[in-house]
Amino acid sequence: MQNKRKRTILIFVLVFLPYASLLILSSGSGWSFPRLFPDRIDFAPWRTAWSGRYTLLMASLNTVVMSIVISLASTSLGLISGRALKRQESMFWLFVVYLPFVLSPVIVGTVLYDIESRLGIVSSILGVLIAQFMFAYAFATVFFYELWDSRIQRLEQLVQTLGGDSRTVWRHAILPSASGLIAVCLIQTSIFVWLDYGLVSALGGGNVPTVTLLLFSYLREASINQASQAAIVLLVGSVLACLTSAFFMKRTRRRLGEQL
Amino acid sequence: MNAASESLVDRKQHVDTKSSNVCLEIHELSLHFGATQVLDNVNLRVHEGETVAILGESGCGKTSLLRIVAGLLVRTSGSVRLSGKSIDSLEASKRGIVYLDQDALMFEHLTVYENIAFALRIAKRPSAEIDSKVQQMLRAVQLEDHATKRTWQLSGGQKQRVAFARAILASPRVLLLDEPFCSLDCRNRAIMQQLFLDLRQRYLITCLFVTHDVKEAIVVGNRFATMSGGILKQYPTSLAFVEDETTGAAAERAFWAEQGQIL
Repeated sequence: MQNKRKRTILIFVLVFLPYASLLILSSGSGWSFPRLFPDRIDFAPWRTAWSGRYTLLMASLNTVVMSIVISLASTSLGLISGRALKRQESMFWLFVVYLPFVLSPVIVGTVLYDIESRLGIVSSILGVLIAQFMFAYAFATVFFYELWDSRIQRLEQLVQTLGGDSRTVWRHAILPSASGLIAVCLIQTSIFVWLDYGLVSALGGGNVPTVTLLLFSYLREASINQASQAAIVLLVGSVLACLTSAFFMKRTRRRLGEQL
Repeated sequence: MNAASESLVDRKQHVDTKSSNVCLEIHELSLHFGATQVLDNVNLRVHEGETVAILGESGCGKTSLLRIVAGLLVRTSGSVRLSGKSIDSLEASKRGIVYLDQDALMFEHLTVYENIAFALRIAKRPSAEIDSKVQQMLRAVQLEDHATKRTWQLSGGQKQRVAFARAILASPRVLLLDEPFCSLDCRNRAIMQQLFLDLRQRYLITCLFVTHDVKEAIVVGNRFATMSGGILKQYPTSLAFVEDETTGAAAERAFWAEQGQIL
């Protein structure tokens, strides 16, 4: 019993210690070596972070918008193409879908850089969005490819024989069956965009402000307050998304259990 | 006619195949999957209000036959006609044929009431008509007290009732039942068979009923056929089916006669 409690405390400390350190780093000022804590802890550094032209606020909003656009587009199209892929059972198209993951993102990024520079969209938000969409869309397609089991297919056929058109099939057979997984895919793809650094830095050329880009630029400048603030924003977004994802996964599993 | 066949006629609605119209006509239907012949030149006529029970072992082609008739599977050759008109090129949603399999599939996001009203809702029938028909059907399948429940709250037998009620309210020209009661226990199976007979009489349903249970075939069928290796064999009378050693009906009848029951 005591061992269990100790283990819980240890896990708690391990999980929350980095957050506590980041909070102290982001709010402290007048911190000099070798003291353990800064002289003053207040919200003054946070106020600075949210003001100015290229602020953390602007980068956060930009990343949120990019996450929403990519997750909505890739999830909705991935749902359709995952279904089509399952029906065709084509090994060629399955290989094509897996291609972005087979190749290294650096190689994909380099190839895309060349194509996008010819199209004149490199160093723009559109160029970054296209690259991120490629990966998120491939992920969503693979994710939904496994969704189409015989039960959903029979449900689709039931709607058809009861007189339903393709809209009714989507509304009453596909979307209700997939609702939990759609939510999970939306969250996963938005996390991918939220945490992406490689594609943004390679194709954005520093002109597309995101939280990850800001974090690395603060680190390079050794601006410890701002870097830890950016890290907190990044982590809070991811943790919230992970918790929501876990909730929907649990709900989906419970519903599938009830059906069985 | 012996006691066995007399009891069959007594218990079921008699369909006069000479005077009633042919509803479903299957003509020289074949299906191949590569070198495997699933259906071999199947011919069948089903009259209005008639239930043809098709008996056969798993994998003999019964389900494929029903799925082709429903428009869910493409045939290799042959044709399917409904009231004299070819339906080969029609989509499943436009055929007016409902297919039910052994798993009573439910729309989990809808209540029992909405599940039963499903076909009427998508046909955009007036609300008053939907309500009247659904209430009537809920009484017929004895689910009045469960109307507002979600379908995951129902037992297997109750789900099967909902599936039946939903199918019948779609007013199908032909109802295709693919071993609908095989997942139920003996008691619920007997209840559902009786309910099927009642609903068939009340709504004059034309039906193809596939089963691998001889007793069930005898209980629900007006006419009988067996399927083996994709070949359909029809029986001109109930007596011919019951007396055919290969169907297993004779052995079943002998067993129940020993138990003091007449099939």
